[in-house]
Formats: sequence, C-alpha cells, structure tokens
Amino acid sequence: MSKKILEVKNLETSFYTHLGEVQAVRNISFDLHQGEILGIVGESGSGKSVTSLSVMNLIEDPGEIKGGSIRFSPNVDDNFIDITKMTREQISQIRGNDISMIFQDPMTAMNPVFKIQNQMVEVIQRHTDLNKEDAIRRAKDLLGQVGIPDPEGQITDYPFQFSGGMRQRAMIATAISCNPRLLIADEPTTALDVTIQAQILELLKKLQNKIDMSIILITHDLGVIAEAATHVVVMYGGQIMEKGTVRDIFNNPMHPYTRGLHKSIPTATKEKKRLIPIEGSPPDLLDPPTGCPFNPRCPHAMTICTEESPKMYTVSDTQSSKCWLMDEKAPKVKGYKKPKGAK
Amino acid sequence: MKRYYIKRVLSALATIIIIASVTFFIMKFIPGGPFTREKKIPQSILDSLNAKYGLDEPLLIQYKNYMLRLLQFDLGVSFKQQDTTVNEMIAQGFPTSAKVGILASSLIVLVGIPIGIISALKKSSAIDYSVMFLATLGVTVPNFVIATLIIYFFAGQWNILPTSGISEGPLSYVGPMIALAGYSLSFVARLTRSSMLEVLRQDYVRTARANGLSEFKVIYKHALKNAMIPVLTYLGPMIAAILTGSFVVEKIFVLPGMGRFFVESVTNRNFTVTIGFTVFYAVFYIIMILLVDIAYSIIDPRIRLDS
Amino acid sequence: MKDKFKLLPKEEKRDIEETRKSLTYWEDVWRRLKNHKSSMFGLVGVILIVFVAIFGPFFSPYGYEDTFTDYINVPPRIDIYKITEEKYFYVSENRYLIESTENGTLGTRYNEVARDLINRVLYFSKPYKIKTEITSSTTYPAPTDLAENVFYSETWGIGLIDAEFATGDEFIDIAYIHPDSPLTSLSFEEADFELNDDYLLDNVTFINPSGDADAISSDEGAEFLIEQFDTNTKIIDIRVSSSDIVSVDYSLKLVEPSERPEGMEDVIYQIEYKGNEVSEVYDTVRNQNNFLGTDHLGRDVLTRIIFGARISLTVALVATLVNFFIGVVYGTVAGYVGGSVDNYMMRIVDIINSIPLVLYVILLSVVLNEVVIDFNLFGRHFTLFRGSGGLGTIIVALGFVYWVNMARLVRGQIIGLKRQEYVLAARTIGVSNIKIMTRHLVPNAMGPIIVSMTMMIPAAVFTEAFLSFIGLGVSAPQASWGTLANEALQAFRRYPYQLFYPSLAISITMLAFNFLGDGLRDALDPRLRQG
Ligand SMILES: Nc1ncnc2c1ncn2[C@@H]1O[C@H](COP(=O)(O)OP(=O)(O)O)[C@@H](O)[C@H]1O
Ligand SMILES: [Mg+2]
Repeated sequence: MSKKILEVKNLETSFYTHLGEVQAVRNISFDLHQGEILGIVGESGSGKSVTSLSVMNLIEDPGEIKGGSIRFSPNVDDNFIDITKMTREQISQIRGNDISMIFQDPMTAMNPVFKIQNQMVEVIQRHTDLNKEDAIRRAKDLLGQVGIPDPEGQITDYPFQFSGGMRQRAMIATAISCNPRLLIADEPTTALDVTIQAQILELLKKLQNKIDMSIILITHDLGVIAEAATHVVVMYGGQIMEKGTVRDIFNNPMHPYTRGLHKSIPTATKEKKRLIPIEGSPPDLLDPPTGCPFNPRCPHAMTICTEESPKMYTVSDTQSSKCWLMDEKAPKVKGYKKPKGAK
Repeated sequence: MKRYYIKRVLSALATIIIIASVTFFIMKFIPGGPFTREKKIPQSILDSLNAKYGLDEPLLIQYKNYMLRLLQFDLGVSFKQQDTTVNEMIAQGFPTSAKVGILASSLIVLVGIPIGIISALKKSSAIDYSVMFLATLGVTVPNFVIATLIIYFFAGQWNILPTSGISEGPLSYVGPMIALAGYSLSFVARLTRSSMLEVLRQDYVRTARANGLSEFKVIYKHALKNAMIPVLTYLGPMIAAILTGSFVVEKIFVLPGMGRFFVESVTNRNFTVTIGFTVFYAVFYIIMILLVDIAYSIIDPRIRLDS
Repeated sequence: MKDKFKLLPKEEKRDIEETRKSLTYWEDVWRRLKNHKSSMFGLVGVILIVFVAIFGPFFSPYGYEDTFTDYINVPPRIDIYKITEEKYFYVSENRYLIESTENGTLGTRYNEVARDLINRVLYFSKPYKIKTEITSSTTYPAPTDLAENVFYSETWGIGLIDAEFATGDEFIDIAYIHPDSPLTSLSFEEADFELNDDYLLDNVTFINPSGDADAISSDEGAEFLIEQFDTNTKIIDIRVSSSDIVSVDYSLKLVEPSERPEGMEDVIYQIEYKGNEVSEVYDTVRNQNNFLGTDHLGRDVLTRIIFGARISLTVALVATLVNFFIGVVYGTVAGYVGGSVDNYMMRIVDIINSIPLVLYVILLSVVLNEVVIDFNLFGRHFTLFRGSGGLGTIIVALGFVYWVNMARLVRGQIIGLKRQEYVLAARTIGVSNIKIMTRHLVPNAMGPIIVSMTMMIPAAVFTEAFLSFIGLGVSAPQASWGTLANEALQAFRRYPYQLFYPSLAISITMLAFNFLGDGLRDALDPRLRQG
C-alpha cells in the first residue's frame, strides 16, 4: 500500500445562519493515499463541497470547522500537518502549491476582468521563484499540456472568450502549475457537455499519472466514479454512508442508499429497466432526523434507525458501511449479507 | 474595440440632439408663449416681442433656427432681463457650481468607496454597523435637511463655518460640499459594501484563495476590480444628482452658482433660461456618462470586446 | 432490545416527511420577511404612516388652513415666566406677550400699547373684547366744516383721518366725533376699569402699529382696537386694553450672552409688572395648544404635517402606480414580443436613461403648470386638469418620467419567464398572447416588481419634496411635506422646529419604505432561499 497523504478524522463543519445551525458535515473520517483517485459521491446537498472546502480550509463565514482534524503530508517525508490549525498565511502557502482545487462551474470560477495569462502567472509566481518571462513560458507550456490548441495566442484572452471546456482546461492548468500532491476537483464536469466531460476526465487521469498526484473527485454521478475513481466515499446528509474501493461499491454495495443510487442511474446494461429514483428528499440539515439521516427514505428502516446513529461497520479490509442492517441483531433482508466480522 | 467607442460617441450625439429637440417642443406646448404674465400685455407689444424673437415664424423654422444657434453653442437670451444671454449666466454661475461639484464628487469617491470596502471586510462589526447606520441616514434624509442642519449647528450654534456665500475662503465650501455629497456618499458607501460582499461570495474569489494568493491580493486585486463595476455605473447618474442637488444647496447656502439661476428661472417662468439650462445640464450629463462608460469599458473587458 | 431491529411499515416512515410543511411562495416570503428585523420595523412604520395619512385628518382638531393669529411661530416647547401667583407669560420670538398657564396652555395675547423710541421696551396690556350693536336708526350728520380727506361715518358719528408721521408709523386720527355718537357711551362688561365719556374722548387717537387693524389708544394707557368697523352695518367689534401694563425689555436679547452684564448671561427678557421684575425662566413646558407649535401664519404644524402626509403619499403612490402601469406594459410587450420590436423599445429606454430625469420632471412641471384642461358638458363647466399648484402636475411629471427602470426590470423578468415550460404549453394550446401576458407572465414577475415599487415610493416622496422645495410643488394652502419644509426655510434659524418636523416625517417615511424594500428584496431573492 502506498503512502497515506491525507487523513480526515471526525470532521464536523457547520454554518450558522439566521435560521439556525446547518450541520453540513457531521463527523466524517476518511484517508487518502498517494496515487489514489478518491471519488466522493452523493446527492446534491449531501455535504461533498463542504467537505472538500474544509480540506482546503476554505470554509468562510458563517461557516466553521467545528471539530476533528485534517492531517496532510505536503512532502515525501511524512511530516503531517493539521490543516485546521494553520494560520491564514501558512495555509495560503499550501493552497495552489501542495493542494489545488478546481470547481464545478468554469464559467464563474475565473475572474472575468483579468487575462488568463495574468491569472496563471500570478499563481506560478506566488509559489515559485520564476521571473515573469519564465512564468509566462511555464503557463503556456501548461496550457499546451491540458490541450489548449493555441497557447501562444490564447493566453492573452479573457476567460469569457473561452468556451466552458476550454475554461475548465485553463483552470486545471492553473491548478497543476505547481505540481500539487493533491488535486481536489469539485464536480469538474457537471457543467459541461457530455463529450467534453469524458475529455476532461481523461485529462485528469493522464495528469494524475504524469505528475503522480492524488485526486479527490467529487460528483453526484456514479458514472463519473466508475470511469475515473479508484476509491469511493458515499455521502448522505453530511455523513459518510459507505466507503470502499470502486469494485466494492459497484459490485457489493452494502448500504441501502448506495443501492438506491445505483438504481437511479442509467447504465448501458440496465437500459431496458425502469430507473427508480430514491423516493423523498434529502434531509433538512438545520434539523436532521435523529438516528440515521437516511431513515425517512430507507426501504428497510427499523425502529433503531430512527433513534440511534449506526456505527461504521467494517465489511471487508477495504469496505465499511454505516448501516444498522450490518448489525448481527438486524433481521435478514433479501440481498444484504452481513459481514462476518461486524462489530 | 474602436468600434465600441465610436458607437458610444455617436449615440451620445444622437441623444443630445433628441434632448434638445424634445426640450424645444415641450416648451412650445406652454399655452400663450413666454410672454404670458399675470398682467395683460397689449397685443401690439406682444406682436412686436414675438417678432423680435422670431416667435411669429412657423414652428419648424423656429426649430431650425434654434438648432442652428445651438450648434454655435448659443443658448439664447433671457426673456426677463433682456440684455443678458443664457451663456453669460452659465459663465457666471458655472465656476462656483463646478468647484462645489468637484469637491463633493471627490469626497464621495475618496470617502464613500473606502468606507464601503472597510464595512464589507469587517461585516457585522461595530464599524460596519455604524457606517451602515450613518449611510442609511444619509440616503433617507433629504439634502435640504442636511444643508439646513449644517447651517443651524455648524454656522449658527457653534460658529465653525460661515453661514452663506463663498466669500470666506475654503471654509465656505465645506458646508455645501457635505450637503451636496451626503446622499451620494452614503449611497456609494452602501453600494460599494453590497457589491464587495457580492463579489467576495463569487466563485472566482474562492478560486483565488484556493490558488493560495495572499489575502491582500484576493481582496484588492481580484475582488475590488469587480466590485467597482456597479459603483462606476452609478457614478454617472450620481453626477446628475450632484448637479440637480445643487439647486437646493445653492439656494440654501446662497451660492452664486448655476442652480440658483435655474431655480429662479423656474419660479419666474423665465422659459428661455429654463430651456437653456436644461439643455446645458443634459449635455454635461451625457458627456459625463460617456466618460464613465469609457472608464467602465476599461475595467470590464467584456464590454469593449463583446460588441 | 430486539424490537428495535424490527422493520418499520411504510406508512409510519412517511410521517416524518409530512411534518415538514410545504409553504407557498408568498408564505415563504412572509416567513422570511418576519425573520428580518429591520424590515418588520419598516413594515410597521409604513402601516403607521399610511394609517396617519388616511385617518389622521379626521381626528385632527384643526383644519390645515386654520390660523391662530395670536399664536404665530410658537414653538413646541415654550419658556414661561411667572409674574405673580396666577400670572404666567410666554414671550414669543416675534414679540408677542401671551398669557399662559403653569403647564403651557396659552391664553390671551396681550396688546402692545406702546414702545420706547428704540424698540427695546415694549408695553403690553390685556385686551377685552366688546361687541356692540346699536339699535337706533339715528344718524349723526357730519359737521359742515369737515376737512376733505376725513372719512366720516354717519352711523357712528365719527370722522377719521389718515396721518403718516416722520417715523413711518401710520396713525388714524379721530378728526371729529359727534357729541351724541354711541361710541361715547359704550359699556365694557369685562373691563376691570371704569370708562366714562371723558376717558374715551379725551385726546383719543387711532393708532395702527401693525398696519392691519384700526386701533384707538388714549394717553391714559388704554387702547381701543377696532377689529371690525363697518360703516353700513351697526355692529362694531372693539378690543379694549386695560391700563394694567406689562413691560418687556428686549435689550439683552439683542446682544451675545458673552457681552451681557455680569450675572445676566442667561437673561433674555426682563419683564416688569406693577413694580415686580422677573427675568428668570420659570419653566420650559410643552405647548399645550399646538403640540408641534405653529408656523408663520399661526397654523398648527402637527395638523399641517398630518394633512401633508396625505398629499405627499398620494403623490408618491399615484406616481408610482402610473410608473408601474407604463413600466409593466412597456416591459412586458418588449420582453414578450422580443426581436426587433424589443430592440427598438429598449433603444428608446436607453436614450431616456441617459437623460438627467430630474431636469425633465422640472421641465414637465413648468409646462404643466401652465396647462388647464377644461370642458363643457351639458352646459356645465368641468375642469379636468389644472396644472398650476395642483397635485396633477407633480403626479404626471413623476409618473411619466421614472418608468424606465420598471420597464427594464419587467422586460428582464418576462424574457426569463417566457421560455418556461408552462408558458410554452399555454402557447401551444392556443391561449391568446394577451392572456399569457396577464395571467402567466406578469403575476410571476410580481415579486421583483413589488420590491421596485416599494423603493419607488420613497424616491417619489423625495423627489416631490425636492420639487416643492424649489417651488414647483403643490401650492398654498395645500401643503406637502416638501412645501412645509420650503415654507419653513425662510426663518429656519429662528424657528428650526418648523423645518425639523416635516423633514423628520420625510426621513421616517423614507427609512420605513427603504427598510421594507430591502427586506422584501432579500426575502424574494431566490439565492438566499434554502432547502
Ligand atoms: N455558505 C453556506 N451557508 C449555509 N449553508 C450552507 C452553505 N454552504 C453549504 N451549506 C449547506 O451545507 C449543505 C451541504 O452543501 P454542499 O456541501 O454544497 O452540498 P453538495 O454535496 O451538493 O456539494 C447544504 O445543505 C447547504 O445548504
Ligand atoms: Mg457541491
């Protein structure tokens, strides 16, 4: 197993709005190793973006990381630092340098009033000692790497002169400009056309190989996960429902929510079958249901599900699932087999 | 890019022509013409007056003459004081009005924008609340009230400022400047604040932070330039507010500016002067807007490159 | 324990969902508005202001034209002086001496009967009113030797002559009085002194210090002010001053406090009555007659403000409605029809937008002030529109100029809405365009329109105040808040309260509407909507 580079433990992030506390992320833990592509999947509002922003320590007023730790190892010699405890200045040294992030909507994620060149050079110069010419050269080179056809001419364009896909490429170029160890991509393809989606995913995979970085790939689309991820975290209502390798999640989903997600997406093999959306709507995080957040929508909910939050049951070495059905006292439900070593 | 500027200048010219024409025809709708008074003027005198000012000619000829005169920057004569021209009145009043106006505008830009930014950055702090409280007062209290309060307290009760006129040097400009700037200053501060807050919520600001840029650069480079766009749009109309606000302020502070002539012409029904000043103000205003638009296009490339 | 692991039946689980109420759009907006403190403040303010504007005038004890000529420019709080146990006085800024009670209820204004040569000391005495009617039809013929410029009344048997003195004072002298004139034998019931023929006739002159009423005064210190003296009717109203004289010395009021003699820095008036000198203010009390004081004609300021609310708000509301109609129709047509029609319509809006609108409001007001539209119907004469001084001018001027922003806003909304499925559906099933616009588009664009209207009302109040202020507003005797402020401007240094209260009314109105508008905007902003 390769080196661990990120360890998120018991992370809790809330927003204090005038309506009350929105518990966007509730006590989640996961690890990420060198070279992995970790997919975080879940319906919209399940706390994926808040999780990734917490990792960047980018949560802003009225939000706050309430508890837990986010330990990150910026270099090879395993010196872990806790991102939640860093000062503004320290964290800004890390951002864009060791951890980079790209966002969902490339139309709004670039500053409309500065040229692409300006925005890229600024980042390169922030984290390297390159002079302006060298930085420009590097920027052009990066644009070429991400597949911009004419870096020389297009680098002096403004973002609005780029198409959506082009802009996302430029965003990626900026993000990888300092060879980060970790790239967080928050729904990088959601706003793009289907054909472009595939190209961007391809590009990410290629770059990941080339500069040996890890990626956290956030999406609400299991298809994207299947295509690109090596590991998966399934989120619902601000909590992790299930985690495992791609193989685990696709071949042996243990959580009713994960199964629900499977049923609700079209796949080539299931073409003839009717799509079954998960009934009901995601929980109100201002006042989340007691017990398991999924219980109001769960087809197999039990009394305990409405009262107590389930533990994370270990399914296998690589997979664990946060569901009472895994408990030995739970009744047998068709299609679910309880793990042997469940605690 | 050049095309954008040419287009703007041409449309400004067209607007000026339309304004001049509309003003001319509106004034022609006044029943009885400019010489109607409370006292009846004998018909013979009326006829000769009309002949003297070409008012007996067909409307279109009058219009042509009026526009031709406008082309030579000739705004006509006052019907009440028949030896003064409107141009002379403007020349007499403009320097004072311009001085007060420029002072007020500087105050707005140099104070309004910074306090708006500070307020946004220190959102929900005591500074923010007090700035916003004052700014809210500023946009709800009419400028004639601000002016009179200044006179009452600063000039009357505490004797710090002169009460009226501009004879007492720089100090005499302070009152008019504050009264004139009050509303727009508050408005600009509020606008800057809300625009800044809006921009700080934008994705690209988050991107800038995610790229590790220093907080200074995030705010004063990435956020500020975008936040200034709506503020700049307001600055054009603001100049109009300042010019028209000056009617009241000049009246209260007894300043020898243009506003006084304009208000007098309105109350005395001195129609030619009213038209002349309206056209002058309008042209001035349009030129200001043009300048603001050009500045705007420099800040926001979408405007100049998209057309 | 084992029970906890029993699967739940389907129905039970749904309960949780149902407890979450689903709110309609407006319920949701209302819920959010309720959470917004300042906008609830604004809403309450707006309701109060509208309430006062509608019902205030019915409860007001005075009309907006009622004048109290004795109480001119009396402020809301007055300094009273105690002269004797029962006598309290208020000395007004314009040199009236008015009786007061201890708690500030004003009584009779004393007549000025004399003053010293340099106008520093004025003498006042209490007037008594007498109304006399003679019943006999006797006339008293004029003597033959009466000078030419003497005005003679046969009914009263008196001849009067105008006389102007070098000081500029105008006197009316009695040139002749008929020995049998009824004026020589009037009885004065209320007077606390005896009058006899001698008293009245001895060296009597009519003086006319104020220039507006005829007065008689005698050397003995009594004054006879003839308030109404009609030569044809037989009624005469006379005010008689007693010989009880109060003197007020104004000398110290004219000098700066620092320049007053030692120990008298705070003294303004020195009042003397029967050898009793008072220079210290007894108390500062609220004016009980006129809560917010009176203006330069003695009209009640509070009453004028309440009536002014009606006018200011009517102007603002009607102008806003006019704006609303023009803006909505224009914007809807432009947005719905689209294409080149939209293009041209918006070009016009652009042009109007690049004009300083206030100038056009002024210009329109100037023009409309000259316009009178009237017509004859069935032999009767109607005035449809009278520009000069009417509300119409301002409403039309404001209404026809400020609709452009509304038009823009509506157009933007409509363009967004017309692509929505239900509109397309309505179109495919052949619903007429007019119906689509009025039933589907405009109602759905209502949120932002309402916000814009809430913001337009204070702007209109503001502009109306401004126009009134430069003399283009509603004209006397009607008054908007702007007019009131304008009227108060002339003497605001002496009577700041006359400017202050109307301004306060304007400011509170602006504040209330702005708060409400801000809150509504936030409440309607879909970006801030959660869940
Ligand atoms: N700035 C914020 N203020 C209040 N609530 C927020 C904020 N950002 C996110 N949330 C809440 O946090 C929850 C999770 O959001 P998010 O992480 O964006 O979901 P997603 O999984 O779609 O990325 C949502 O319920 C959202 O309402
Ligand atoms: Mg998200």
